[in-house]
Amino acid sequence: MKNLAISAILFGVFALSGCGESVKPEPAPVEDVDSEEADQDQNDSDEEEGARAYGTGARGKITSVNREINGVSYSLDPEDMDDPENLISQRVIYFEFDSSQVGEKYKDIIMAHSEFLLENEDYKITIEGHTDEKGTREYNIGLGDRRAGAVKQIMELNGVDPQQLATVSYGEEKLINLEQTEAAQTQNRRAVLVYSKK
Amino acid sequence: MNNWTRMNRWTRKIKSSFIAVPVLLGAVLFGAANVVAEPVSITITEGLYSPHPIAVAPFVWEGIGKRPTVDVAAVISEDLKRSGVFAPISQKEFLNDPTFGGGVRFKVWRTMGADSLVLGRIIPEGKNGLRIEFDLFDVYKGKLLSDSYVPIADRSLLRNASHHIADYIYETITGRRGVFNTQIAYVKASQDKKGSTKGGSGKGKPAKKLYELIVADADGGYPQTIMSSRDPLMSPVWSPKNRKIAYVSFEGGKSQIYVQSVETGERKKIRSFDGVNGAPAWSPDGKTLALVLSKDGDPEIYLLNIASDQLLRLTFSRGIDTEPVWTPDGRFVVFTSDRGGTPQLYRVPVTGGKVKRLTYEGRYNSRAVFSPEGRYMAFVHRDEQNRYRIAVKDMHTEEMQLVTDGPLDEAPSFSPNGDMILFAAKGKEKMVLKTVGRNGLAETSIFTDGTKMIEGDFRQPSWAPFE
Repeated sequence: MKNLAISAILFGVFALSGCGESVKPEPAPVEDVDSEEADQDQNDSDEEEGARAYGTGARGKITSVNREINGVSYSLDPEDMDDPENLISQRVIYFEFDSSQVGEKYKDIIMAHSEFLLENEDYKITIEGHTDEKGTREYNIGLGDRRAGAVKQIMELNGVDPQQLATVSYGEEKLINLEQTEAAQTQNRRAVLVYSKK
Repeated sequence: MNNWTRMNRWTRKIKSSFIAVPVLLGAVLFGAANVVAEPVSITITEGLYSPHPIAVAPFVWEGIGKRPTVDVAAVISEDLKRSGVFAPISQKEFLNDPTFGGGVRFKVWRTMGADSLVLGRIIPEGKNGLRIEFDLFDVYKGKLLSDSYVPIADRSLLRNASHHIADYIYETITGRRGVFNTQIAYVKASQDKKGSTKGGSGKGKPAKKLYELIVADADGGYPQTIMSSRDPLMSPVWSPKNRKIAYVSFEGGKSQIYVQSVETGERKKIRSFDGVNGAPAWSPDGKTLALVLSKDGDPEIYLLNIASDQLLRLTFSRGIDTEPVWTPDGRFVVFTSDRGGTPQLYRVPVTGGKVKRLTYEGRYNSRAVFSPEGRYMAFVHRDEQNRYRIAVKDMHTEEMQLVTDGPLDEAPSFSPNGDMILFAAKGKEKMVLKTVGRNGLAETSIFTDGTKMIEGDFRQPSWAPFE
């Protein structure tokens, strides 16, 4: 189900659904076959960039400073930033075990946040890097730093002023799921974008 | 007056009282005969080393009224046992009723397999003081090795006095200093009850975590919080002298390294940079910290001269370089790096230069620490069943031994005599602190609340050096 929700967001269903239906974008880890397919599809749509329409008109309350990415519309208005239907409200990026490589499926979210920072220069983001509890605590501080740094680097490549970006690695100090299951560990391997005003 | 100053004064007093007792001659004679005196005889693969059997008889209470609550013989036995070097014989197996001061029937003790015997008594002295007398015998030779006593001004010090007697026995028999009167530091994480939100919003906001930096006796007794924070505290490590602890604090939402005096609580922030400021490690002379900074892109090892604030970068590789530790000769920094694809241990000269890989066993070896004389390196090894276990490598023979079973053991720290390793381990649910002999024997949980073993979130223990 989570996969469906994410796919829906990525392919623009969300933009059309607007205020009516409540598509709850759940920024959950997507690591199985379905999501790989989704990535594939997403890449396809990248190739068709020229053909994409800009804004479809059927928008919800996100109206002020809208952008669109891969068919998903999002708002750069700080007033909308916590609206669950706005891409900007998605602030968690998940990682594979012992990896700091940002998955393709998160590049849109990071681009949206980059645009937000470019538009709102009085905002800044602290990128928190987190890991699961496997491995030593110091190594995990290093791994969390690499994860936060990977996200930061993409944002800088997107043109964001480095002054608007900071990173902090908490390693395994702030686990959000203490269960011993693999699913729990997957939720712990993450980078979190925390907004603040300059 | 807090426990520190009280204990330290007491320790000094005891030390001076010991100087007056001429007993070490016996240790030399005894050690030559049948006792493990050379460290090399302890460096043996699992199963080969047999610990020294010793009988510690109950200490006789010779006062009127209530006897002290601390069981001196039990504390001594427990101390000796968890070193992995001694095998105390259970009092239940005693074949005769030992009496202090009378004749000792060595033949009976030999039958029980005891190589050494401790008899003792406790006598009230002054208003609330005690005098603890003890005799140490070589059962084999049938002779007295030492008759000594420890005076204490207050009964509350009886536990420490027991540790001190254990140290004395340890040194008399092995020739190496005992560590039972030393201290440890660790981080405890818990839910802060004061910080939890009750009612109100109804959203059930989780209680805030509370992190405490705690200093305690080597067996977990007298735990004292020297720093607490709502943000994570990490990586405490004792300075080689002057009783300071360097640690990482995330107060204010970023990582910074502090050096804090255990006695005064006074602390100093070390020069900090954007990104990671972590994993501090003292040089053997206490003048330089090795640390991890990510200011130049990813985590790298640096040396920071504390007095001059001068910074020297030691590693230059893409990926994670972390967990620096000095070799005790002060010539190298050993660290963990994933430059070869998996986390392994490497070393680099402290002047900078060529990096050498140290571990090839398995796909995960990290967080090295050296025994004080530099011969042994302990670290975390992931085995083929993905269990994280403490390993010890003899740097002379290159032989590696797994001394714990996992599944999630971490943060090894050597005792100041190098005979034991303190580490954090996943218990049934939460983390506990444990010790194990360097020989892999006598894995024991530490009494983290002073009197009993509790599971909590106890992390990253560091064993204080000898004072």
